[in-house]
Amino acid sequence: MDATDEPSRPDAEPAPETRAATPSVTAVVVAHEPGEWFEETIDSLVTQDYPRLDIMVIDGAGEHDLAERLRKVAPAATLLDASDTTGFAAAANTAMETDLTSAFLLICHDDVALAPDAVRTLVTESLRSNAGITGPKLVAWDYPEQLQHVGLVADRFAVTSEVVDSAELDQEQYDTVTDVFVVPTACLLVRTTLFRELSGYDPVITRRGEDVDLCWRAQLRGARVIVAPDALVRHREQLAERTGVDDIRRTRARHQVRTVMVNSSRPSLFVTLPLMAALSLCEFFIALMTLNFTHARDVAHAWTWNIGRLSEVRRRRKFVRSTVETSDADVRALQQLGSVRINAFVRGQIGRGERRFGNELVSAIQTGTARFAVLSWVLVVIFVLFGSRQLLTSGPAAVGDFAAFPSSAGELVGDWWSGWVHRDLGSAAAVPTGYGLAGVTAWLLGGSPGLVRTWLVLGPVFVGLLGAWRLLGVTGSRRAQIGSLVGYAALPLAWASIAAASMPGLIGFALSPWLLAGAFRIQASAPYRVATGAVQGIVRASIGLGTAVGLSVIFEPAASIIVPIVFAGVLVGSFIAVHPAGAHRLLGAAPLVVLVGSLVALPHTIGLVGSNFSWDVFAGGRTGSAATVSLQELTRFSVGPIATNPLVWLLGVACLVPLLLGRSWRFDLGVRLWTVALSAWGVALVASRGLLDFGLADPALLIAPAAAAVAGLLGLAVVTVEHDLRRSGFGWRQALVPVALVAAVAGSLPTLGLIETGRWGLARQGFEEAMPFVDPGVDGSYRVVWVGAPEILPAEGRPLQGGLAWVATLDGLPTVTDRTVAPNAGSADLMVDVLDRVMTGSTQRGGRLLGGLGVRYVVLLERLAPAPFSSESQARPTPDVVVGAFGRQLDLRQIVGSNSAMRVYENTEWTSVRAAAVAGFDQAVTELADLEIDPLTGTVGVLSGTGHDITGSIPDGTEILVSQTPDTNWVLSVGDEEAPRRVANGWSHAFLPASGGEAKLSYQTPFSHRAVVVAQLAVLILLAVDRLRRQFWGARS
Amino acid sequence: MKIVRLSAIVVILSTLVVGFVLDQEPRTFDDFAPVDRLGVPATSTGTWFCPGGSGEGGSAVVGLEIVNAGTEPATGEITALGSTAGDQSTIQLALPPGERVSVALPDFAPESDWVGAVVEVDGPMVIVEQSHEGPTGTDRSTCATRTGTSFAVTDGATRVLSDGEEMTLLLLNPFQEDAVVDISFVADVGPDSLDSVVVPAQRVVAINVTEEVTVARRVAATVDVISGRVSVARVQIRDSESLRGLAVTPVVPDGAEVSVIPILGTGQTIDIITVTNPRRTDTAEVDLEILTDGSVFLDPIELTVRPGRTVRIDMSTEDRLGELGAFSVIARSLNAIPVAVMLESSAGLATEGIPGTAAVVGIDGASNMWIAPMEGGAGLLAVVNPSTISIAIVDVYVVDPAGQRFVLSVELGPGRRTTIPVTEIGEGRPIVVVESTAPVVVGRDLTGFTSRQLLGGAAVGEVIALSRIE
Repeated sequence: MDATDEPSRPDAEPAPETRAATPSVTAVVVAHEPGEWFEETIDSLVTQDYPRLDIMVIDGAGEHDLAERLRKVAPAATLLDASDTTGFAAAANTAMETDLTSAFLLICHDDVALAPDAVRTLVTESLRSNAGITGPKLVAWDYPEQLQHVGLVADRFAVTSEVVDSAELDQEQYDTVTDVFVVPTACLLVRTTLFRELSGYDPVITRRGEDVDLCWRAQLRGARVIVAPDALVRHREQLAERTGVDDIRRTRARHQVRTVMVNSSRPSLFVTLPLMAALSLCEFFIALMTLNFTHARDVAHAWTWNIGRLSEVRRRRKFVRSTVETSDADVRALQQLGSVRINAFVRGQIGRGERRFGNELVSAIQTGTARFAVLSWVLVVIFVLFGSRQLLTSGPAAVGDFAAFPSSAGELVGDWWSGWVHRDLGSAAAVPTGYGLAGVTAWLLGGSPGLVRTWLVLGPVFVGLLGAWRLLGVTGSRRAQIGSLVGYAALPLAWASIAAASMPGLIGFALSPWLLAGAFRIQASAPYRVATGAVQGIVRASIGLGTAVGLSVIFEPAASIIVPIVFAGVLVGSFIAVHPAGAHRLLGAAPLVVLVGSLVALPHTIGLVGSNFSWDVFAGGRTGSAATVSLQELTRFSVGPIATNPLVWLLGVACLVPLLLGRSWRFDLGVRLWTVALSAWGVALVASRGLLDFGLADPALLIAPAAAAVAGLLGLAVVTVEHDLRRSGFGWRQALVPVALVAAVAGSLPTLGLIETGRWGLARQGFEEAMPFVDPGVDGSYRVVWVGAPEILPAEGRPLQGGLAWVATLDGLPTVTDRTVAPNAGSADLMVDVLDRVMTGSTQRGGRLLGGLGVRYVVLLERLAPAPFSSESQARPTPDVVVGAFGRQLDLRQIVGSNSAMRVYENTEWTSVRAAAVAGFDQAVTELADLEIDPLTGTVGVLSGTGHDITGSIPDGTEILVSQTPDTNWVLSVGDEEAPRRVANGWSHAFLPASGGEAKLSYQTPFSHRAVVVAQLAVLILLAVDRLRRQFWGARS
Repeated sequence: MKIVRLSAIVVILSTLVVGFVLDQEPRTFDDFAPVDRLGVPATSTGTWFCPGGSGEGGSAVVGLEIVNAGTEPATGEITALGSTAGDQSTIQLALPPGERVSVALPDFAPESDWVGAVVEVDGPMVIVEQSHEGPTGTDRSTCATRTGTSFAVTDGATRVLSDGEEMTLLLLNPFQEDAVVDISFVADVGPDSLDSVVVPAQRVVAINVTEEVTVARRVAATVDVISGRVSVARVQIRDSESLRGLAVTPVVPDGAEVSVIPILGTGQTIDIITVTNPRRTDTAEVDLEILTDGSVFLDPIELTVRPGRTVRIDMSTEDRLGELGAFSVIARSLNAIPVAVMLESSAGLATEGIPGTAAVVGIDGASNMWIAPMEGGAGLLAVVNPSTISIAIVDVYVVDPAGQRFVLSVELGPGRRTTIPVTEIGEGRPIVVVESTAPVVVGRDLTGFTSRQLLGGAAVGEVIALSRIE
């Protein structure tokens, strides 16, 4: 029957026998300043076809004209003043203060309109079903075809959930009598005796939750609560607008806690209350994280409000227990299993209808994931920028891999374009193109490289975060993406890498999530299905992955070392999950990935092939010697000078969710992510324990895939909860969710603490002011040899023995073009040989030998940054045997008073890198070792400076010794005349100019090098255009 | 699915657990190639530190003798370092094969009372020795191939008025930075010390112990280098009516757990072995093992040397050694406390033998190849096999400008030693090269017509610490 149908008013008194068989009903209408609809409400009662219906209106607000309004519609109705009460429950209870003789009470709000047969239907069904409380089908006041309530379900936490969906139309789909746990207070029929026994509503519950409490107690008393959908009632349900107070969340939360505390049995209370507290805690933290402080306050208030009424609660419990006539288990059976709140969240019901009240977190989560995503990104970006505030204002200190830029952008571009690197003993090799592009960017920005340098550090962080965001984009779950994003930011890896000034760590952080996603796409197993056809999709994914790897390599050549780690992890995971489909695709695509990556990093690739795949590029100066980093530290991502709290391990609890709860592809993907993490940690551990005969890259780079995998697992945990938890009844699975959430929050706390310094623990100042180097303009250019642990050297080193590495720089501290190890080592083996001889005690004239290599200073570095910008606890002391060995050199003078972070030796037998010498100055020298007995003497430094075009005057009648890897592309010209050359000191070149005067020493870059660089740029442009084209095409389609 | 899930969880978690468990095992860090503490490693070049002696007219005028025992010419460079600031010079040398080149060191630091040298040579078969000559006698010793930071001088005497005993410590700092040393003395008249003695860079400093610790019959000294590294020698002069002699002894740094005195008991001499424990806290338990040619086995002499103290054993008073003739002594620290050992052999003016004093410190390394330039007369070459399990086949060669020629071969059983008279080796002053199939220790008794010196050979092969030889 349609609720809008015109009711048929009874014209005649019913027959006396009918009246005698009909139980009496008193309609109790609780009015609180009702609007113009009030008359319609009362009229709907007056026009009921039920013969024995009395009407009692309770005025909860003491409104003056209510009596008159009532008299006009229902002159026989009784008006009761309850203006001294607060809330619906207390007002309704005043009905019991009258001489009630009716069998039933029909308790109503003042904003309902009953269908004419509603009361009859309710009473009939109540008698037929022997129900204690019977509710009608509630529909919207203005749209009766839209369902509002057909009873409510509730869980052990007194949280209710609708049976009907939001805005669900009434198609009689619920028109069967059903047991429910709660009937809304809007309109319900209750037996008068039951209502009295229960002492009515709980008067402390002012509004929201009184229905749950009443129905719960009724069922404890043994009464049934049912819905009779044939009874139709329209309901306005605009309490908030009428009261003008938005306290729904506040009142509902506190009354839920009260209801549980009052109605649960004691054994049940021991379980329910802690679980409820845990859920509240999660809600509290989420609210805090999303800056919804009013929400957090309401959650906290719910508990403080009840704790403040404990004595009253105890009295109430005592009363309720005295009325109980059925077991707690019987009532529990009627409640919803699990948590209605979590299930509703999973099903997307939370927040419905509450959006209009503003900052409702759950509403935002459910219906405004885009907004929540934006909020998450804003928070993450603020977190990164705030934590980097000092880096942004004063730039990163020039320590470790964060080497300074050359003085001008043009110089940086020139170094890149030249194809010659000065580090070590010089070699024809390409400066990583990334730095060339950085130079171009700096030039475009006005020539100041400072800003670009800062963003070379922070840029990889954002690239990595974007990768983490996109890692699970294919799942279609924005919340999963948020989980990965926040999880990746919460891991200490990026921040530890900044503190350790580890460029490999940062590049690994940037690359790893893209690498993972690329590997999954190539494998093409769920959810990374390809829609464009198997082969085309795999090719496309391979090109994408190769591009990502190549782009990483142009900044950090060692970055490619994590590709096999990820591939191996994914493959192993596929087999462990017994889902190896796609493994062959992964293996088959590897060559294409390598090819594309090689093309993107073309000069480096050619250099690597030309050097017969020099492993130094990937080793970062490590020899395969054991290091001190333990698995505990690796799994905490504690690889730098900052020690991260073990709380980070709690993130692992959340990472277990996909394994424990995931089904289908969630489980498979979870296993693969876990095996990727294990592979990365395993490789880093094997390297750290010195089980390999060769060195591996910075551990921060090696464990970067593990970090991406952990972030992916955190996001996957969210997907798992979304997809797989709803199928489960309440049990450990549901209990795991809040536990995992709390663990994830707690596991993120250590990272939050890192923002304190504003530079993630990176030293405030580099060695610029601490180095006692002489201006090369005084005596000529010289080399500085840096010896120390690989992780503290001011550039990536080449390996020495005993876990030490070395790097040689020209004229002082290295610049960014010296940072990476060139595949072409040039004559670097000579330096290794000399340093080995010094350290093994094979010579005590190391100075003479080093002098032949142009070395003026030897720096034994023990800390990443000078004191007081680094503490002694972060030192990597040089082994005593090495210090002793250098101390035993007859021609090395330790510079007293240098910074405590290092030992600096000046070579008293040094010769300038470019020196004028008398003809035949090295007659007795056929190899470098001869210098031990026949040192170079009588030389004068000339042509000082760095770069690739060096000019200066040279004396007449001298030979010009250039102590660097011999290369015929270096040309000395005096005037227009090119000087001939010869081998000098057994390894380098000496030019033999015909006369002195203004001379120019220049490197004539081979055409082949420039062609390769141009080809590389072309590849980069092609890939970018292709990407943009696909993006554009995709957008149009 | 349940089995797959369970299996996956078990595999993943067990991998993690196994990783953590295995990571509890201690790690083995790569070490550096050890810098051996004795002799010259087998490299093409060598640096020799000669603490030196007095300048012209002094009590122990120093000279250098550079011996090229190879068959190829070599070159060398001597940097003479005087005790006077700036008094230094460099001399380039050509070293013909099979020949000795002598240099009067005071000529190159004429302003100094004391002069030392650093000698750098480019041949693996070149060694450097220093000789001393003074009014009380002559001495000869091999220069050191290493500097150090801790030295123990086991014995000396300063009764200058009654017995003409003067003791001097020479400190050579060949490096570019100043060194600072603390010296402590333990004498029969009581302890004394000199703190923060600066040894300027590339200078020699002489510490006149006679002035610091007066009228002491026995003085032991410990030199601790606070900053830098130095080379140390002891100059001991005895000039009484009963005994005259000069002994200049380079001091071996750090002490050793095992060291060998290759030769003693060769004549009418008083042989006194002094053992010093330089440690400040640990007592050393030391056995002096007597090594003979194998015909007699003797129990060792057991010593307990308290921290910082010295024990003197007069081997001449050991009756059981009386009929042995020449023998060797291995000083073995039973509880791994390094000790310094020195033998001082003296013959009074009234005895039948060659009068004078000679001293040699314990040799703490063995090698397969030694160079031992001999003098003529009644000199002896002693070879000791310190191993308890290996047999050493020892080949003796003589090198002269014509080349190297084989002389004889000796088989030494484990723990055996032998003495070869120089007359069996060659005429004149042969340069002897000893090659062995197992590491041995070589010593020399250079007894001439008027003087007698004891010294070790110079190891030119790989040197192995005696404590590592089984």
